[in-house]
Amino acid sequence: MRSDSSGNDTRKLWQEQRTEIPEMTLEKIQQKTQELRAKTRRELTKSIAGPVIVAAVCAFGLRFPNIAVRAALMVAIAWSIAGQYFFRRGMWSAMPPGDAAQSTSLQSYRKEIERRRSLFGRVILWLFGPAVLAVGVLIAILVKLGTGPRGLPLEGALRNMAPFLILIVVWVVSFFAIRMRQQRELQREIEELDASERTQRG
Amino acid sequence: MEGANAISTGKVSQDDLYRDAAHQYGAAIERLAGAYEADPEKRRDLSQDIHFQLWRSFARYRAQCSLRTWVYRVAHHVAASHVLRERKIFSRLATLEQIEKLPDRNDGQTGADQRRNLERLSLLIQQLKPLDRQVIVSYLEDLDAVSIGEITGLSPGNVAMKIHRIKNILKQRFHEGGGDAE
Repeated sequence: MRSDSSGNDTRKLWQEQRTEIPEMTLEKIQQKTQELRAKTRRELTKSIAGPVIVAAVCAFGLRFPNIAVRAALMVAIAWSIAGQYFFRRGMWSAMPPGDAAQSTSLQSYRKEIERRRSLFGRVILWLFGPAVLAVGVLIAILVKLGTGPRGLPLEGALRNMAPFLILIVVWVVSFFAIRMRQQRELQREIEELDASERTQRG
Repeated sequence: MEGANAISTGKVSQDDLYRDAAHQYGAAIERLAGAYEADPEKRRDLSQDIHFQLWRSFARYRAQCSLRTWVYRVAHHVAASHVLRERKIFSRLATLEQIEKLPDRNDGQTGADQRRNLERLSLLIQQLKPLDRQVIVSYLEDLDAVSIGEITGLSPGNVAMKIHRIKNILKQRFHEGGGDAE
């Protein structure tokens, strides 16, 4: 594409591209509202995964008379219940479109990045934390059972549990590795925005 | 002025405002969605999301800024959030400065094939970080530097610098002369 006097430039090429404008009738907007509600329900269902793990471990673990085990599981239950409240409360803090329109793109983009970064912290603290505690207690119970009076020595019990333990370690490590990478990316993006704002002020 | 007064006194309904905006900027919204999403299915979803959020946003429109600025701010916000949601690894996205320094892999391949040039242009835009995408899309939509600054929040100097870079990139890759947006 060569520039010429007729103004056949990139902007013209861009503006003249073929577009199919979707017909967004008010009925379609209502449908979109319902879809959004359904999507929110799905998101909420996903956040129940942590409490389900906690509940499953508790159903098994609370049968054991050990006070430490019971105390740890009670903590996991309380943590998990509180987590549902605090995690869900934060889910609604996305910037409404009316606010986005009153802010510049730079401001709304920064807020969105910060919101996503804090979401990670809440997932770790309120969903992942209780689940890891419950799984830790489960491992302790299984080890205790395996090394009981008629059981194996500790080494043998751990060897038998190796596949399960490896799975748990892979789950925890991969979850952290992926999330930490995303977190670093978001942090880098914030730093770039800071640098850009400093340049603007300078 | 009558329209602005009607808006400020709340006489224009949210639905009317949306219809007006969709009529005036529908095509621009489609092009913008294309700049943020390459996959046709996801692009359609993104475009519908922008329309939906635009409709929602008009509940709070009191002519605080021009309709165009309002529409572009909402559209860019929804699209940038989409990029943040979909794209987990931002470091693979580049700034205008980085793109400017990269050699053009299609060097010498430019020609009269408009479809191919448009694909290359879209690909180039999709490599950019969201804020730089906003600037280049606004530039391609013929918005002047003041309007770009109003939408993005970048200072006039910063916008001018970015437009200068955009022109260099387009010149390198599309052998484009280009007019001034400033």
